[in-house]
Amino acid sequence: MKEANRTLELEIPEEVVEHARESGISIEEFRKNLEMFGTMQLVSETSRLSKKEMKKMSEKIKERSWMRTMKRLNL
Amino acid sequence: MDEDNEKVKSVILDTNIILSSLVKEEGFTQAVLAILLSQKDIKLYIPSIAKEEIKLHLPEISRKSNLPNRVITDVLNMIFDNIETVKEESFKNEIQKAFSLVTDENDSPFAGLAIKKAPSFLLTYNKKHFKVQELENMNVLVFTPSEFVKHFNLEIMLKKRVKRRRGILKLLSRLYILKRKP
Repeated sequence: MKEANRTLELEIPEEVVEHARESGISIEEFRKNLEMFGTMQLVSETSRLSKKEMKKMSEKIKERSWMRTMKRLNL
Repeated sequence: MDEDNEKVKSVILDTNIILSSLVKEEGFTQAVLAILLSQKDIKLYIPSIAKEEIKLHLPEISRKSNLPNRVITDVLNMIFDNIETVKEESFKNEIQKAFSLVTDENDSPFAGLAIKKAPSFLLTYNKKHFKVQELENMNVLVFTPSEFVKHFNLEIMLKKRVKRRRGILKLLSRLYILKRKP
């Protein structure tokens, strides 16, 4: 698996920043929101995990979680 | 719902919503997730064991996504840093209540946690696993990500007073549109 660093240059249109400001969204919240969204977009862009596989994986995780929960809580 | 509860929304995240952060075609859910994770008036929760299990499945997730383990860990840590994990012991009674409110017992801890944190929202792709009407009677609203957004939009239209939230929704749509531009 090849690893590489990518730097994303992100220019936010002034109109969007202005809209965020007018809407009462703090710059801190706005920056955090963009960072999170940008990170997820960058990572998922190169991911081969399909929606179907993701749902299957989620079900498997929940099944394992439930078994452990029952054991831990004596259900 | 009293004024304080109205200010801070409790949202329980299904594992499928968290894993959607690693799926290419899930841009919309990622935008919703980014908004939820960055809002101070939204509190996110997940059952403790579910979080542990996601981490235990990292090697398998890495293999299927072809993403390095370290990258997945970074993304999941970024998400989990903003989600409160709740020990199952603290909502055992609610898990037992939830048995009759789910169609798949694997979802009992999620429904149980939502009952514990009610009034709350449960965000999932698998609504059919939950008895939505019965949970609604217990002040738990089960939504898919798109329904969640629509619900808040409707709330704004009805109440005409949450200017800030309308701004967030507009911003979400802008972010989504910007991303989809070639």
